[in-house]
Amino acid sequence: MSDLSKLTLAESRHGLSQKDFSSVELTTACLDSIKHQESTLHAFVTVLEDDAIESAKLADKNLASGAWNLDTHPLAGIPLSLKDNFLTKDQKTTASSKVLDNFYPQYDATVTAKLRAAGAVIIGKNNMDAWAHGSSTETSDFGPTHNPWDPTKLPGGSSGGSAAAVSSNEVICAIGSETAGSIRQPASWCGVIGFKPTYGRVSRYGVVAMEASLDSPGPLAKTVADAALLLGIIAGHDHHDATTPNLPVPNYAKALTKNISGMRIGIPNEYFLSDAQDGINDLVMRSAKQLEKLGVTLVEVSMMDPKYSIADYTIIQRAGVSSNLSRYDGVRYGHDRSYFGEEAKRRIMLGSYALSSGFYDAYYKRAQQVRMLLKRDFDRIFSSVDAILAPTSPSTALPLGATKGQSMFGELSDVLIEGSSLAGLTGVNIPVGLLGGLPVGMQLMANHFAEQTILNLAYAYEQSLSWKENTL
Amino acid sequence: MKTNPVISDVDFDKLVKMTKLTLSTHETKSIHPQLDEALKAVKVFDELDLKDVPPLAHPGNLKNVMRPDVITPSFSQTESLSNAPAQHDGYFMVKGVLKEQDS
Repeated sequence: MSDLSKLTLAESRHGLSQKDFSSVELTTACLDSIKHQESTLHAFVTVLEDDAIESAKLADKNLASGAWNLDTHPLAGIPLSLKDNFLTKDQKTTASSKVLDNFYPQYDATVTAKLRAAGAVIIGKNNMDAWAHGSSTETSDFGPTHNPWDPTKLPGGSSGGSAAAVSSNEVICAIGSETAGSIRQPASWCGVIGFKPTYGRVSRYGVVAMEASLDSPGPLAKTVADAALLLGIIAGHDHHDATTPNLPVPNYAKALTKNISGMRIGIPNEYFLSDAQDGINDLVMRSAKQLEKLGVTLVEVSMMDPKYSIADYTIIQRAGVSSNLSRYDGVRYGHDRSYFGEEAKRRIMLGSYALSSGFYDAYYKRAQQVRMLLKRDFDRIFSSVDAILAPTSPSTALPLGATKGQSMFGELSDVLIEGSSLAGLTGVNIPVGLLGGLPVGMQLMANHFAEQTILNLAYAYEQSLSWKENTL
Repeated sequence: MKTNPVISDVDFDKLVKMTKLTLSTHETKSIHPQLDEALKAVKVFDELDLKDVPPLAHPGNLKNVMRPDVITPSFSQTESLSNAPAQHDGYFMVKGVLKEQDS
C-alpha cells in the first residue's frame, strides 16, 4: 500500500468509507511519518500516540458497525493535529510557553469538541510561536519548527507547526489560529492552503487568547476542498463565545464550484510592494491572470497604504496581549510570571504602556481610529468587487535566526495581511508557485461572512493548474 | 547610538512593576529601546486625518448578548483545583499580600 499519510482529507474519507484501509492504518501511517521527520521538523509540542490509536480503533469499530458514517461523522477516523493553543481536555496544552508546560485543561475548546464529535483522531499538538506571538515559530519556548521545503528555513508562524505538519504529510490536515497572518503566512511559506474565517465565524472558546477582537481559528489543509469541509465543521454560533453571530453555517464543501465567471477581483497596487522579494509580485500577477482566463474580471483598485496597518496592529495587538496575559499568575494553573519569555514580556509591557493613563489617547485611541479608517477603506472596495487579491507575504520562507533582534519581525512580514485582519475579514492563502525552490502564496480576501466567495475562487484556481510547475 | 527614549527610565521601571514581570539586566537593556522603536512607529498616524473619526473597538456589528440566568453544569471543586500548584482545604493558595506588623 502506498504511503497513506500523503492522502488528502477527501481521499482519506473515500478510502475509509470504501474500507480500502482502516483508521488505525491511516493513523499509524501518520505516526510513522511523524517519527521519521520530527527530529528534523519539530512541528509538534506533544504527540498523542496512545490516545490517537485509541480514537482510531473507536472510529474503525463504529464505521464497521454502521453506527458512524460520513454524514453523521464527517471526520470519522481522520488523523489531524491542533495548534497547541486549543485546549484539549486532560491533554497538555502549552501555547508553546513554559508558563503552561504543566497545564492539563479541564475542558475542550469548542473547536476541539466539534472535531471530536465529528469523529476526528487528534494525533498531537503543534508547535507555535509562544502565545502565538510571532510569525516564525522561532519564539516557541520549546525550540523552532523547521520548514519542510528546506529545514534551514523558518516555517512562518505563529501556526508554523500546523503548516509544516500538513506540508510534510505528518497529518492529513490541521487546525491553526490567526490574529493577523498566523494561518495565511505559514501556509504561504509551507505551500499549503490556509483559511482565515471572518472574525466570529469560528468560536474562540478554549483558545488561549491573544487579542479578543481579532483571534480567528481556521483550517490548514492540502486542498481547498479539504479546507472547505473543515471550515463547515468548526464554524458556527457558540453560546460560550458571544462574538459568534447566530448565522447559519453554509455547506461550504458541497457548494464549492469552479464556475467563477463574472466575479470581480480587486488588485490593489499598494499591496504589490516595490521592496518585495524579486519574483513574488510577478508570480502572483501571473496567477491573477490565470483567474482572468477562468472568467473573472480583474479591477485595479487603490487602497490605503498597508504601512499604516503595521503600527496600528502593533498597538492594538499589544494592548490585547497585556490584558489577556495578565491572568497568568500561577495560582490556578501553570507557572508564575517569571516563566514568560522575552517576546511575551516585550508585548505585555508595550500594551500596558499604550493603555495607561496619560498615553491612552496618543496610542490606543488613535490606533482604534486608524482601525476605523482601514475598515472603511475595505468597505469602500467591497462595494465594487467580490474579493481582493494580493501576495500573502512579501518574501518566501526566511532563514532560521531571521527574527533575532527584530522586535517587529512579525508585523513587517505580515504587512499585507494585518489590514484585513483588523477589519475582521475572511482570507485564504493559496500556493501559486515556487521561487528558488520555496513556495509562494497568493491571498484572496473577502467581506464578512463571504467565505464561499474566496473558497470558490481558490478552488477554481487550484483545479486549473499544477502550482508546483509555476516557476520564474 | 543613543537617542532620546520615548519611555523615561522612571516610567520603564514603573511598567515592569505594574506588569509584575521580572527582567534580567540583558532584557532591560534590549527591551527598553525596542519599546521606544515600536512607539515611534505610530508616527505614521500623523499623516492621517483622524479628526472626527470614531474609534473602532470591534470589526463586526455586534450587540450585547443576554441570556437567561440559569444554572448549568460546571466544574466540581476537585476539577477546578486539578491544576493548582498550591491548595489548602479545597481552596487555591496564594502568597500572602499582607505582612504582620511588629508590635
